[in-house]
Amino acid sequence: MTPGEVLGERTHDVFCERAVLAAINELADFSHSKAMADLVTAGKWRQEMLMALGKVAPPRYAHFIGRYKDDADPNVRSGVAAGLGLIDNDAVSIPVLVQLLTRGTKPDDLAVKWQAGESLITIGKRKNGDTVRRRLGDLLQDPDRITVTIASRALAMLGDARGLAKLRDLTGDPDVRVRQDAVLSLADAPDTGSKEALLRRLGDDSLSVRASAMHALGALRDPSVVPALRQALQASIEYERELERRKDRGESLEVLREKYGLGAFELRQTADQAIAAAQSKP
Amino acid sequence: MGRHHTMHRLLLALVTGVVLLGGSAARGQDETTTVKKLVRDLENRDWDVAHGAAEKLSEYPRFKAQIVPALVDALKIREWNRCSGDMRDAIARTLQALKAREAVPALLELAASGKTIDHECVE
Repeated sequence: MTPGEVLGERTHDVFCERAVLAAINELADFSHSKAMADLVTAGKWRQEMLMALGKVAPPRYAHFIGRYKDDADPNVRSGVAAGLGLIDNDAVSIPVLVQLLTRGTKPDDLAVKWQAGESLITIGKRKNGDTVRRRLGDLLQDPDRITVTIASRALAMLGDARGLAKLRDLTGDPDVRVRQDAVLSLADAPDTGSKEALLRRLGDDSLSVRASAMHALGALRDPSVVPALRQALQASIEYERELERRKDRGESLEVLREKYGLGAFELRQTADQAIAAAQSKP
Repeated sequence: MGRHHTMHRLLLALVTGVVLLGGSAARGQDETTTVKKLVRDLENRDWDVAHGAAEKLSEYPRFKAQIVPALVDALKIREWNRCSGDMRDAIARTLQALKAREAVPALLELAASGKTIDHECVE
């Protein structure tokens, strides 16, 4: 597993597992909205049908999609977030997406928050960029730093400098999950101004943050980072051996995994991919 | 001499044209026969035969008018000796490849029916 694969999983296509639903999503038009909504009401294929509705249904269906924002199933809430990013009714979509982005601190909620951020980026790029940026800017003060990270990433992807600045700050956060997500977000919005912050993370306490920093530095496509990446790989392999020895001496594997990222990523593969990316033409 | 040459060329072109047209018509006839056979195979209860036919039919978009109703019928009424979920999956892929918008009501009906649309055999 590499950080690039983690990012790839976040954009996993829910339709790829069932061609029947993929065909509906691909071939349906607005005239099928009622039948798709009926499936959702009947509790069948909710995530997929909410997304398909978002793609083709008339704007008034945003209310229908939003009705499922409190569903117990996080996949359904992800479907709501995705559908609202596609439908053309920003007056309804933006407030619900902001709610979905700010709510929940459980691991299951992360995919919902992430999808809400993605949909806000889509809406912000399509139109109403100022409204979306203002709402996201308000979230930079949110007490939940995962929310702040996702909002910052969305701002950065919409070209707002506050997003990149906040993400660089968050790379030094005490919470390892926040540091890792901030670093990965900087890979999605590559900017040479992030280079110093990312180079510092090559020496992070957590191997997962180090690997994420390698990936993000590769995304800058700046060949001058290659020596630092090679050095970081050697140092990280040494560090990994030291953590393995601590495990053998009886330290908790769970702590070593969560706090220090032991075994989270294939270090050599990550570094090789990052070096290849750094040496590729922008 | 020149006139004789021109006549000869014209005759050659005419013969070539007839041969090409004949070949194309024969190929068209072959394809019609193949599609008819594949549509028949789709009705076979044997999964291997029917699944192969469902996949192969996507290669004949020219015959969409004949293929789509057969695929829709299969979705609605057919059952196979095994792997019915995979069979429906293959049919849906072919409908998508043929851009068969007219099949959407049948696909929605299937999604509502509770019949399996999950993979059981094919990865």
